[in-house]
Amino acid sequence: MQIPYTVEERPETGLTNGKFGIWLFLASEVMLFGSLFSALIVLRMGAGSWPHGWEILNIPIGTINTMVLIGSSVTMVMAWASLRLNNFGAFRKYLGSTVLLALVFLVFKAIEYNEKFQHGYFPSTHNFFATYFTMTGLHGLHVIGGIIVNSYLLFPGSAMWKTDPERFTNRIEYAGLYWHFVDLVWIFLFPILYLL
Amino acid sequence: MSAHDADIPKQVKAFKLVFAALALGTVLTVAVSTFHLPIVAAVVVALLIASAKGSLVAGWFMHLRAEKKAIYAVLALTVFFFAFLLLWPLLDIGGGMGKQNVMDGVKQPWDPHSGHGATTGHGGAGGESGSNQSGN
Amino acid sequence: MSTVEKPALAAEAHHEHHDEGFLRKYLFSTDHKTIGLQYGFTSLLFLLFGFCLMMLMRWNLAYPWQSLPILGKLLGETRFPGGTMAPEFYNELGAMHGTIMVFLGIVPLAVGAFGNYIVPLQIGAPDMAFPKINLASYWCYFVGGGVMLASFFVPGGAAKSGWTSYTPLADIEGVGQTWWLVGMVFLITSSLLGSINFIVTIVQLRAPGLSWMKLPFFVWAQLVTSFLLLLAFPPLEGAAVMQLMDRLADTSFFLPSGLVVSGKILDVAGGGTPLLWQHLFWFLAHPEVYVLILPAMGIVAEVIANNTRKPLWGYKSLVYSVVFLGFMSFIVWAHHMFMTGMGTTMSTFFQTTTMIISIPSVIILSCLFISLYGASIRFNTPMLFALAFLPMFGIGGLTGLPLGLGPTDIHLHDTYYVIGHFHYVVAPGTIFALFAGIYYWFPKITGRRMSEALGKIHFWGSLVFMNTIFMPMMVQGLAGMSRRLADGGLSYAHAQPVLGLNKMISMSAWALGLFQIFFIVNLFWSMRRKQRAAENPWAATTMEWAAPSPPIPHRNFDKTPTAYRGPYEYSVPGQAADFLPQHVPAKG
Repeated sequence: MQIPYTVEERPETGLTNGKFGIWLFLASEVMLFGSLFSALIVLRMGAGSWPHGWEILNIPIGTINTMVLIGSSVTMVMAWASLRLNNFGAFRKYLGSTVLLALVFLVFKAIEYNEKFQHGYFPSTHNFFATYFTMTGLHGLHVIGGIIVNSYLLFPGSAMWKTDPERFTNRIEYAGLYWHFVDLVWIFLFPILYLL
Repeated sequence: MSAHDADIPKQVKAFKLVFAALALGTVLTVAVSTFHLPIVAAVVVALLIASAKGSLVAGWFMHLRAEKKAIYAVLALTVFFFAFLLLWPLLDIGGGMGKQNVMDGVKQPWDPHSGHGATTGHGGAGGESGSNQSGN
Repeated sequence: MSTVEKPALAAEAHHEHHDEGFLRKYLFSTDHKTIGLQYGFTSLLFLLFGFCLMMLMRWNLAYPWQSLPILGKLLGETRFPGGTMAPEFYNELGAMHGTIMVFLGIVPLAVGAFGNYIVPLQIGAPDMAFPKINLASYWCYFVGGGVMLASFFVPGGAAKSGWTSYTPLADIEGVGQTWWLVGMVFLITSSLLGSINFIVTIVQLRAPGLSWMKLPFFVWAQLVTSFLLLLAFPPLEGAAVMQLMDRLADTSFFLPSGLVVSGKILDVAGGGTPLLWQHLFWFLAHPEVYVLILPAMGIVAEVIANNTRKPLWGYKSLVYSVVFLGFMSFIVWAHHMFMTGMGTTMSTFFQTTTMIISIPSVIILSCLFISLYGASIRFNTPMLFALAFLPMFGIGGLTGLPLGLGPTDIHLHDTYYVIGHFHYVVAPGTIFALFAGIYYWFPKITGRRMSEALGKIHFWGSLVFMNTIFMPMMVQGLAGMSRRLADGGLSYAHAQPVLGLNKMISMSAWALGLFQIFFIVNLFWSMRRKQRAAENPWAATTMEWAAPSPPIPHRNFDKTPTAYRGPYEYSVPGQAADFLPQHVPAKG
């Protein structure tokens, strides 16, 4: 027996199960990153000395990475829009770009981390670095998660376009919501860590 | 699926505008940071710009502007608890949370304003020997 | 439900099932009933294991530093040097008893087992909204549980810093703590996946006619519980990540500067604070205790309504109270931290919210009590457990009041009074409710009834010994005897007058263990009984009783039921039978 409201919306709520589910998941992610922001506030307020982000971190790379991630959000939503316009070719192009841009983000991150290690800055050096590495690290893990999901949808998962196009389009929408959230976290993380 | 197929080209136009706005916001927030404002002002400005950018992403890319009540309700609840999670230290007026420990004068392993990089990657700096009791 | 259709549909489902191999059908099923049973068996085993850990602890409390015959040798020289318990092992037992009972026992049973099995049935749904995520959630739990069990065998043994894993001790102790943290990440993931599933299922998959105020209270309780899990667990996950960083990457999230360990200053950057861990931990752990009690209240409500043959008193009050309770549970957490040196503003705030949160609890308990007034009470085994829940939870709740007020908490914090308080709520509270649920829903799950005789022996033995274990602990706590002492207070002068109680408590604990044998035997023996029970042996009104026993795999009902009335239409005037099931259309 089919589970109702997988593709069509329940009239009372106007939602599909998947749409509701992904938003609930994002709510939990808000609380997850919230606990780290809370830790940052507490540790910074109580610190004897705490450097400014712009004294230590690589702002040019951070800025480029911000633009890269924002760009990937655009390509992600364009991937969904392409499916809504029945353009599978454009969809593949856009989703592929999203994955590529995400990989670029990780490469820049790796360069940044390596730069820090070369200077002798490790998470253990000072809580400034502990919070920097942990928050960007957790964010980076979420980027990796998004790459995995999007790659799945780009390759094996895209077979569903032929059998159940509406359901597949919904899946891209939900993956997009997750991806935009990852972008959203970075939009806050970047100024808070790098620019203050 | 809600039938706003006709909307899509209009939405695509909006996406491009949002992208431009986000790029502008990014440039703006980096530019402001070069002024090295006093910390409170710097935090307020940074959060304002970030919130504006975030609202664009949430409102347009995540379609939050046209979402359903149930989603708004869940998010409102979440935002309340999120705010609580971040702001509870404000309750600690007169308490000990975040108060600097009595470490003035005790040699810190790494002082960010000493002008040097850390001597070793590990927390240890000169002087503090002693076996590390940290768990393996 | 025509009897002609039934065999055909059952055969079709049976055929569907035949196509599934053993692994697909029993281990990796997406059917909420199979997953619910997996959760049920696994969690009952963990409860038993956690109970055994406690029975071991009680040995050293009753007979401090005396040789434990047989078991002492079996457990090896590290844990029992020369046959007597090592204090570090006592700490391991304490930390893991708490962790296992809360995270591997009660929550998986109350939410994973009962929630999964019953909620879709009570709302007339064919399954949960996301069956594959349901499957993933169980196996995450399984892996997390495996990691926790395996941690007993790593060098230095399992975690020893209490189920609360307070830093700095947790930051610097042996590798078992790292395993604890990793295990918790799996368990938290399992709960998050589950909570999303429950919320979407309850909101989206209710049968036609099943509006919000017609929902069984059990479903409301599970809905609120899921919101607690969804929003409160992530901060603990964040904190666990930070503690892992402290342990593995030598960060100082929770380590202050200048910490002296074994006479030497710890070689870390410092600048952190143990209070940060405490705040993040209790931000979860307070809502967590409501996760422990809410499903139990839900079960008690169902059993009481059924066995009083009248509607629950104050259904609306119950619903509004449970929602308010869930909301308040997020803003009381620091009442676990009154003794950390917090300022008066923060202390006043949390005392106030804590007093406010007692109101909905009292309303819920009162509604359940008042439901008994004028009732035709049937004293079967589930009802006995449900009835006992009421005063037991009452004692637990009332004893919480002096803990929630700062001045009295000064005297009682970290004493045996706290242990008595929370065990009253969870042990003769929640666990009794879970037993009630097992006896009550057993016929739906297996098509057979459990033995009433064995059930009543199980009940009376458990009731007596639960009280002789935990009431004396209140006395010990009031005398100032601290918790987490391996020698049971032996080395403290102020504990001497109440030391004698230790032996009585321990023997009661072992006796309580013996009485659980009646339950275990009953459970397995009844499963294989030849005589089948009726489809609705309790003459209940809620929708799960409309399905066959057990319900049809992967679809539950022959056809989707419709709700025509509220969930507790018992003894409706003018009706021939004393109950009107929710799914049966009105006559005429």
